[in-house]
Amino acid sequence: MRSENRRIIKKFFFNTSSIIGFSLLGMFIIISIFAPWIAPPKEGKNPYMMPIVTWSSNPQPPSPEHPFGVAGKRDIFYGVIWGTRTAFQVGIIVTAISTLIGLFIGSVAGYYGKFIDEVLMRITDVFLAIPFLVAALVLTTILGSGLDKVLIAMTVFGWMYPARLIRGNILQAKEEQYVMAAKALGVRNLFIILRHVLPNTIFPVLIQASMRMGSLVITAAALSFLGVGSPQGYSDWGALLNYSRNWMLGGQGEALRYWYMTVFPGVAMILFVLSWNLVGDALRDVFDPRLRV
Amino acid sequence: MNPLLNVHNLQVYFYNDNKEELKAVDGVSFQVYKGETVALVGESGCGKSVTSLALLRLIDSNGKIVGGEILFDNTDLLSLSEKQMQTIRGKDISMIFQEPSTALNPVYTIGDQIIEAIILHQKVSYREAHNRAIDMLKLVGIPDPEKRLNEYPHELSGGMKQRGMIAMALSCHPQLLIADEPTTSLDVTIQAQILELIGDLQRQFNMAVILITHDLGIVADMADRIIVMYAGKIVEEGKRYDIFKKPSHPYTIGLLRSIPRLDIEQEKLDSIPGIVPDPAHFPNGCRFRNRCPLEDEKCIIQPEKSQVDGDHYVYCHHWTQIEGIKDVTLQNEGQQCSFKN
Repeated sequence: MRSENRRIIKKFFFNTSSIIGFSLLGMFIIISIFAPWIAPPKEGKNPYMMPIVTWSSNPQPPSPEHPFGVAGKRDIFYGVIWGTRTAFQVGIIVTAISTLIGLFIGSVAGYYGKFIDEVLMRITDVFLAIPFLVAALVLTTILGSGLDKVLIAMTVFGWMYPARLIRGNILQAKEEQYVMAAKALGVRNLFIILRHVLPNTIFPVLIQASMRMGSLVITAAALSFLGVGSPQGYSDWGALLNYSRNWMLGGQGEALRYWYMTVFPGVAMILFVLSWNLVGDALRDVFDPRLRV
Repeated sequence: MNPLLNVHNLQVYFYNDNKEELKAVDGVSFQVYKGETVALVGESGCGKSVTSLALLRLIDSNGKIVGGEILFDNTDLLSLSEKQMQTIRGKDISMIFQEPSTALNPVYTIGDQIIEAIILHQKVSYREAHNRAIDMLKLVGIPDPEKRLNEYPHELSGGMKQRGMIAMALSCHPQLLIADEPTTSLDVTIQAQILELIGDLQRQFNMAVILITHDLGIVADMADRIIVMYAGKIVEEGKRYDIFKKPSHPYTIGLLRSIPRLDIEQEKLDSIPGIVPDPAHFPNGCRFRNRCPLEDEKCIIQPEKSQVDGDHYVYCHHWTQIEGIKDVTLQNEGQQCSFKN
């Protein structure tokens, strides 16, 4: 094996925080793959909808039958397990699409510069000027509820960060002499961007993307919590929290009486974000040459 | 014989933020014949690099080739489309750069980059290109080419990288190689090896070389003809021997005097008084006049090209008086020349 690859693998797997990050991530991946076995859905029903297990609207504490308790007539355990799939969907789809859009806009702006750069960057500024959560909230309200609408809203207001990052990096990389050397060899502009500029600038974007993966899930949860995200009963950590809205302050002198309603989905969310952040850190440690010792 | 490259009245202007016109190259004409080495000499900012980039039409977007003709093999490069130009770059005209460590892309192996250059211009399979890349590395004197092919630029030494760069530039057997200060970043022993290598390959491929440098030592070794540039204009041109033996422009004399020498004792190196004028405000007439010991009212007018003898031309009103003020004595060919006041 090449020494460079060996070094990367070594850095990845012999570092406490990256081990924690990757094992957490691995755990979530396993949970989402084996969701139908861990929390079997009722036959003929959409497995992403949490089944109604009781007719009482009062929450029920954890019991052998419902290990995480019951909230809003639905089993929290089922919601947390299938919510993992939702979290991955939201994270991966939004990050992938917004990063691709950002990469395209940022590289065109950075490489061609001048007028094109000016126009694209002003558009980016306009999008950046609107607070993300408010913008996503408004757009989701306009489009109607549903997970796909949440994804659209978060993509529309999420591409600017990678665009800015890649533009800055390209501005720097295009002045490098190897770009001039490639031009002097007769390489076409498109190939110069794809083969010579992007590979030298893409790693910060990938690292940022993995960090954003976690925080996007929080934003999606916030939207669901505010009631504009996924539909009623959809397995989603934010939606589970939404059920706990009226019970959060506890009751009858016991502030922590309904702790299970917030703790289980909350912990799932925290661990999910943590895993992506640690993975992002690990990627940065490996790929950022400035941190090499 | 028709020249391989005929540059006629080339003008390259840059525009700064104040919309001022910077005449980086202003009316430069020269010819390069098959198989010969022409050196473009001058200090930083004299327009030698811009001239060479203009030959490949690679001027930055804030600059423009405003006028002139660049005839390469009788086609005017300035009339070609960008697409046609891309087929000439790297195939007919290649370039090697000053800093091999930045001119190679750090994320690809040296082999990948040579193979890319070959596949770009020749219809060959990857396998074939791979073999040719090995041959090229062998040709430029890299030991164990099969192994080196798979190494990244950071794994190679400076001299090795420059050899790789040369292999890349020559992989399509260009007719003209532009070498932009090819040895500046290398140490002296490696410099000699690289220059020797360029010379060898030049003979082997019968290739013309434009050597851009400020190092007159290199010029004395390699060049057939020398073109001295100052502030965007040619001030003197001629065969190597003529330039060293009978420098006829005050600037050329100044350049030659500022080379450190082993054979005479000097406390301080001679230098040309004054600084290069700001390109936005070049003096009218002769651009060297405010630093020139021979300046008089005639110099307000741009001097015409005057023939010293044979192929030796100078752009100066006073070239006949040069020897009057400067006692130029010369020993044998090229490198050895000395001047006394």
